[in-house]
Amino acid sequence: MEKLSYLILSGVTNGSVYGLIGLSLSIIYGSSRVINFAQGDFVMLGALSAIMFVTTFNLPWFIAIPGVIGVVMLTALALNYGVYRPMVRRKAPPLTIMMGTLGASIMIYGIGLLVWGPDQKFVPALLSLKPLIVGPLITNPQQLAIIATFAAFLVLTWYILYRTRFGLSIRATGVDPKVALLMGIRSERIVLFSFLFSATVSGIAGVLVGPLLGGQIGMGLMLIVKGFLAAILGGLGSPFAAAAGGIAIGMMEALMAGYGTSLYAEPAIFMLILLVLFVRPYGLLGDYEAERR
Amino acid sequence: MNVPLLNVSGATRRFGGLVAVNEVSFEIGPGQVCGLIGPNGAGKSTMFDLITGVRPLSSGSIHFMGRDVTQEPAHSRSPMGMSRTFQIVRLFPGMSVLENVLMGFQPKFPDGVIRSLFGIGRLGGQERDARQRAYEILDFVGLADRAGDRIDELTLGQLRLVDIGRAMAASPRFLMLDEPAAGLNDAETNNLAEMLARLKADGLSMLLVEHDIDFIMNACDKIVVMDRGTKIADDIPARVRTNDAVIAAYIGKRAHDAQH
Amino acid sequence: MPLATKRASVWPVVAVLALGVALPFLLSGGFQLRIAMLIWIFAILSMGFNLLYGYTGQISMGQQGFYAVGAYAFALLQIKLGLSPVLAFAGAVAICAVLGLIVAYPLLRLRTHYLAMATLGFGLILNGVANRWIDFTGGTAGLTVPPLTWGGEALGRTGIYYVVLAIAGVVFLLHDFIARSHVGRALQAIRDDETAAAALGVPVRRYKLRIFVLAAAIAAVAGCCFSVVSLRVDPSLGEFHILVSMLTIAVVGGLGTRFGPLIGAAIVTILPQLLLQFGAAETLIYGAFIVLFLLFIPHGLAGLVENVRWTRKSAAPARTAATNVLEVKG
Repeated sequence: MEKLSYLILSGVTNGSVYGLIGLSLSIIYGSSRVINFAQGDFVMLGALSAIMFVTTFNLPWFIAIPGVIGVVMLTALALNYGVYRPMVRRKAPPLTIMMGTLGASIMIYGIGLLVWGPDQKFVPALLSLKPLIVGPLITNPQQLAIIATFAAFLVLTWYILYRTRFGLSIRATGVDPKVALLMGIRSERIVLFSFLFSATVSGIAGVLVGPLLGGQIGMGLMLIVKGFLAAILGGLGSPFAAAAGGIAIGMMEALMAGYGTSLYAEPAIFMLILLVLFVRPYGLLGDYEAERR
Repeated sequence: MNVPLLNVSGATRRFGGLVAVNEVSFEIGPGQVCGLIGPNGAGKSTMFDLITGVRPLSSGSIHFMGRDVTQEPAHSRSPMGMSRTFQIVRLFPGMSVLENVLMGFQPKFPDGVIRSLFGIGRLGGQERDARQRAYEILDFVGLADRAGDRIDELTLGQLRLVDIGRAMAASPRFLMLDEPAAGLNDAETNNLAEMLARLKADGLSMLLVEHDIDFIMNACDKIVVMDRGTKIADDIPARVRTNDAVIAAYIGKRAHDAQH
Repeated sequence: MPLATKRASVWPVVAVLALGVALPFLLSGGFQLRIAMLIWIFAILSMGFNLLYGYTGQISMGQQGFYAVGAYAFALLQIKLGLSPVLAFAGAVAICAVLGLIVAYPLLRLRTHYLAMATLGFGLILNGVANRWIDFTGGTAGLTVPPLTWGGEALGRTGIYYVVLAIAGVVFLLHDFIARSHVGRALQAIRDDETAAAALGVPVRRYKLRIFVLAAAIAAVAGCCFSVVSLRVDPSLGEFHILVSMLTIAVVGGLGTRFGPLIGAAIVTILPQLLLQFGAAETLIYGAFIVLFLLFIPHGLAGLVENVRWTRKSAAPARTAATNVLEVKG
């Protein structure tokens, strides 16, 4: 029982991170029809620039966190103006644009390699990692913070999408960029916002999950794949379905590693997702995509 | 002996609760040019997709030259002699005009890498013959001088001619054209009509889905009219023109549109 | 008559291979020969990717996985089963082809970024297995591959070079045969428009499956060649940097071109040797290459030469722009 609750908690924690990446991917996909391959690298940048600000420069958290957000936002700006927008203007097909974001991801990795080196690093924890006993559960404040942040970003995304005029334009752009343009919605601005917002979400996820996973420049790769799997498991068309997919993947991973062996956890998840893709090509919760065809 | 070239019998296609094509039956004889018309939303495009194999039928059957092709996938219809063109021209942008026409010969080449390697001795000759024929076809449609061009350098009218040329390269018995005159100017439309007349004179059977009524009245031997998924007329052009149901469908449609 | 209307000739490929034969006499020292071997090996790997992505438009980001499986199978079949190198080579290629068929069957139902991510996941899983299944794969330390022998003696460096060249030559000729023939046209048709390709009698799904399996087998060939040259296989063969190198080669050389994989492989292998400070910045430079080429030279270096006919054409005065009409309709 104790093991199970421990596993569930750690599954939900990791799942929150996958879910946040899935949500980020879904937001960008919704506005631009492009999968941003560099999304996992924003998580990496969040974790490693937290080390830079807190450990190396010895800055307090209230300066470090805006600093981290600044780093990921600058990167998102570079990605939007340096890769996405020029490629769209050259009428590159979506897969080629994804190759472009992959190139950008490799560049971010390369810069990370120059700045932080290839080794795994200890990321300072924002909150305490000391065990905290809540009823039958053993957790720690950092874990709880991750789950709380996950919930907070879900609510924020929902609020922006469904309760603001701007959110309405985002959804309109997602349905049909050309019609949205006719309605006077500048889709380029929407895409820029998607990049900035999702970079912030992923960067903060990186700050929080860094102490648990350890910071390493290659971490973005596994995270983008799991975030993407989360998104397709839930359904790429809806940020919330994608986030739910993340929790599901985190749980499966934790349970399989806990009761089986971690050697088989990843292949098993992979098989499961393939299975889902064949039965429901647009995700367990999504019918958005299917409608479009 | 009296086997029709194409026999559509009881063709039905449902999308969820919507019946897009409802129990439609008609025949096209050898050498015949058949038009398929109807107001917007009549189910013409779906009917066309069923005949070309892009979508499966919900029920009913389609026979081509006496053979049941209902279950055949789209890619095996071209080798049987059924070729098609596309309404929104779908040429291959990565290829030259000539290469696009060469694609029409695909079924005549060995299938796959291994079979091609075994037939490598004959392949050079086959390729040469195909190129020769492709030039003849481009000459026929009047585009021989554009053979080496990229397709985005051509006008819409020229693109349609390449599309028809590509379909003809498969030496079809039956050519299916999806709104070939859409978006063309008068000169281009006349050129197209004249070319279709030459193909008909050569004995090629055709199915024309078209919006342009004058175009279709002149080009066809018989016309099938659809409205809201069902066939409402199947006759020679002169009688379709005066058919009450057809007039009602078109005028009713127009009156309906006018209200909005 | 414009160039594009003539059938491409096989002679440039033969000329390049002849240069390959002469290379050991032109180069000084074993180090340069080793570089030459690496170029051929990366060219082989990238040719498979080029057929799959460049020509057919089906992306696979798991090619490094097949590359590693091929190399491991080649080593293990010799070590554990005592097979001869030739049989081990055939076995390794067959294993990858079968593995390719098994994963292609479900994976090719996916498209574009779905396919990209699923194949990447497949590659990462294989890499995880190589690292963690220590009893079988030797873990991170890897395995030692027995050296090639000829008449009881270990083959010298030049001998190994000719073995690699012979294999690369076969793959190159096959790649070129496909690129120049009706098969290449069918593949490009699938890449450009699947519906139209099917309407013209191309069995789209079957072709995709075949090319995926072929690309997996070609990756295995490259993996075998690498283990022959390096005498060691380890999990780094299936790692991200192999994928990065392969993508850089493909994009810089030119996707969907006949000579792109070879030109790209030469550049990606030689450039780090020329630039002394390359080492740490290698990944950054590769990433920048991919972005810059995609933006400014989308058909790569080979495309600059092979598509001369088109760039020259487009300099002609613009005619009525058909593309505009099409876009409004689309």
